[in-house]
Amino acid sequence: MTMDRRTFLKGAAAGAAGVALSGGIGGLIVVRGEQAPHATPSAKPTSDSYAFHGPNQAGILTPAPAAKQAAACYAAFDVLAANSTELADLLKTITTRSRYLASGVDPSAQDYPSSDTVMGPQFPTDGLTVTVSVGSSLFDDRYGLAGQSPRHLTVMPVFPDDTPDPAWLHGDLLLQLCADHPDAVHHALRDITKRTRGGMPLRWKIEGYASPPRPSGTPRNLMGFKDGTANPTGDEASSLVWVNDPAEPAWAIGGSYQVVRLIRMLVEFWDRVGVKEQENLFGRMRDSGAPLDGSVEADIPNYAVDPTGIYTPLDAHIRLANPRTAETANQRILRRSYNYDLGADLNGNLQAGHIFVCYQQDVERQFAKNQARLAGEPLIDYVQPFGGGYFFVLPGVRDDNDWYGRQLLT
Amino acid sequence: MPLIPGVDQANADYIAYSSGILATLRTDVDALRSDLASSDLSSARRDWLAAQLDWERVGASYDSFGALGIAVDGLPDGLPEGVNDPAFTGLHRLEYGLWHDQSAATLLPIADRLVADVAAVATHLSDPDLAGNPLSLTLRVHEILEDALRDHLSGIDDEGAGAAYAETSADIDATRAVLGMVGPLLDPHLVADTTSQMDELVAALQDAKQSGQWLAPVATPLPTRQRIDAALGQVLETLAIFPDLLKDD
Ligand code: HEM
Repeated sequence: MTMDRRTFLKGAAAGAAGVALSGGIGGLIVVRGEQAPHATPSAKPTSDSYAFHGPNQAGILTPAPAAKQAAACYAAFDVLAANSTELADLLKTITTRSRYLASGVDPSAQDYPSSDTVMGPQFPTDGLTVTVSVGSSLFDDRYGLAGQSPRHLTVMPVFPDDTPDPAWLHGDLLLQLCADHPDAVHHALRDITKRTRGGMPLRWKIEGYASPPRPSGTPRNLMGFKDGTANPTGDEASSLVWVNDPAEPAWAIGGSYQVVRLIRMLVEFWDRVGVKEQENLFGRMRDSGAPLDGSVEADIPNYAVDPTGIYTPLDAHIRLANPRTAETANQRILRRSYNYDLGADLNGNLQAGHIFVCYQQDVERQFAKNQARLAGEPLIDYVQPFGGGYFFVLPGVRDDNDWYGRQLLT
Repeated sequence: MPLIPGVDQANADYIAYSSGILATLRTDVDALRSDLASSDLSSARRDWLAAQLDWERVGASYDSFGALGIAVDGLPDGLPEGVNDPAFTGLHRLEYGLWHDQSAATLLPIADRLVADVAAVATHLSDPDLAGNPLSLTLRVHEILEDALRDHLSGIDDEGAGAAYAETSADIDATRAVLGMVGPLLDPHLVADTTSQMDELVAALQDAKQSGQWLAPVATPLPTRQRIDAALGQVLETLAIFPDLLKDD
């Protein structure tokens, strides 16, 4: 470890511009800052693409959860950079590669061909978004960032119903990669890690997928319930997600608190439970997604006229998560979750579940309040949260000269 | 939720049954406590297993005895300090200590507390939060073994003893006992099928023994483990329909 840390980006520390790093030789990473072109190569999307530059990062509201890409990967890293200069170089490299991968370019027209041909010689953007976030551990004494942490960023606590597995928790840096197809996600991860290998070893990673609507409306999760129905949208979503509190460090404005919870679903057990019981656990109808006091998915539950839980049990998931009162309105979160499927558990069960991901302005005011209300909810018999972490999504990359975390590190 | 006639009586039978098992548990927990008081750790490990298996036979699956049950059988999951958390107490806390070289002196106060916590379960056994509500009996029929799958065979509740198969075997005993109470209310063919599927599971478990001792699942050859998992999965699919059959909607 210590050695990696020392040898990391030896060249980068020396390189002046250090905009981009190319493949390493014999474990050393060589800077090619001199040769780096300053302008982004001309964009030529061969498929969907989302604006890379802007005040906020893509992959949260662009595309919005209801239209999110079908494939995703969450990859958490530990940072080994020796000092803040090396950390800045690392973030510059991630910026350069992400800009390139997400914007779509003709490989012949630029200096940094992709290192693999997983997507063929001329890879399309495929709707790729790269969303970079950092964990509270990055703000320890290694990089002189101790006083700069977003105000509410902590290590994700252990919640009462968790079964934490250290192999799946936390990290200094998290990449959320989303695209229309899994090969594009894989390709992006390989491209970025090739150029950052000495500086940020992988800690854990998990792939997710979104289901199509079945048969219509919001896609279903692996418990067979429509998931995402009540998400805030439009301006309301923006007003809940982006950090704008003047009390936050100035660099953090335009960022967002990100919570990732890896939640195993006990799907075999779930399939042995009656539909009525399942519906009472969530507070919605399984087939239509309608709230239990409504008839179609878009209906709004009215808890005020159901104080004893005749229609919607008081401990139903949606009622606890969002009681829909004036006091809880600013506690709402933006969920952008994916399904996952891994291998088999020791007991022969499927390892499958939910990559629960949510965004908010203030993790304490929002996610933590939701989570506290959900503690001990009856649903917990059928799910096991085991991994993830609290992260802070860096503000967006503004233009060709900007890079992830520039305001934090300069 | 209306239940079919006879479930109330079956639940009364269950309370009588579990109160008998709790009496055995109290004896075994007392023995465990004395072992620790005399620093006899190897006897303590033996008596811990007896006590843990008694608890399985009570049939308090899926934390169905509420907070009092969790005090006896809770896991470190969900506690900020995990196994080192002061709120981690009970049988699994003792298991952790006994299989991780902790001293008898460290464990004695935990055993004292367990003696009191088991007594509290016995005192409150008929409360609706514990065994008093007949509706929970309809779930117990399948959830005792769901618990075995979720907590034992997954390795989640193994704090060092590697006792998953012994615990599963005790869970079969508890399920058979409950089936004896509700079975007469149901189709005899269904009950017979269920019983023979449980026999299959018992047979599969026997193969996971070495010199009379059950192996831990991780140490068990894959074919043996698969046979156990398959047999348990099969009986769970059958048991899953019981709760609905006992309800009268
Ligand atoms: C495996 C775990 C989970 C599953 C399967 C799940 C599933 C669902 C489903 C099916 C809905 C109803 C449809 C919808 O509005 O999206 C829902 C709603 C919701 N869930 Fe979850 N959820 C899980 C975990 C969580 C967690 C950890 C939180 C936050 C702490 C959360 C917060 C919410 C919120 C805020 C709503 C919307 C409630 C409303 O506004 O009416 N969920 N969830």
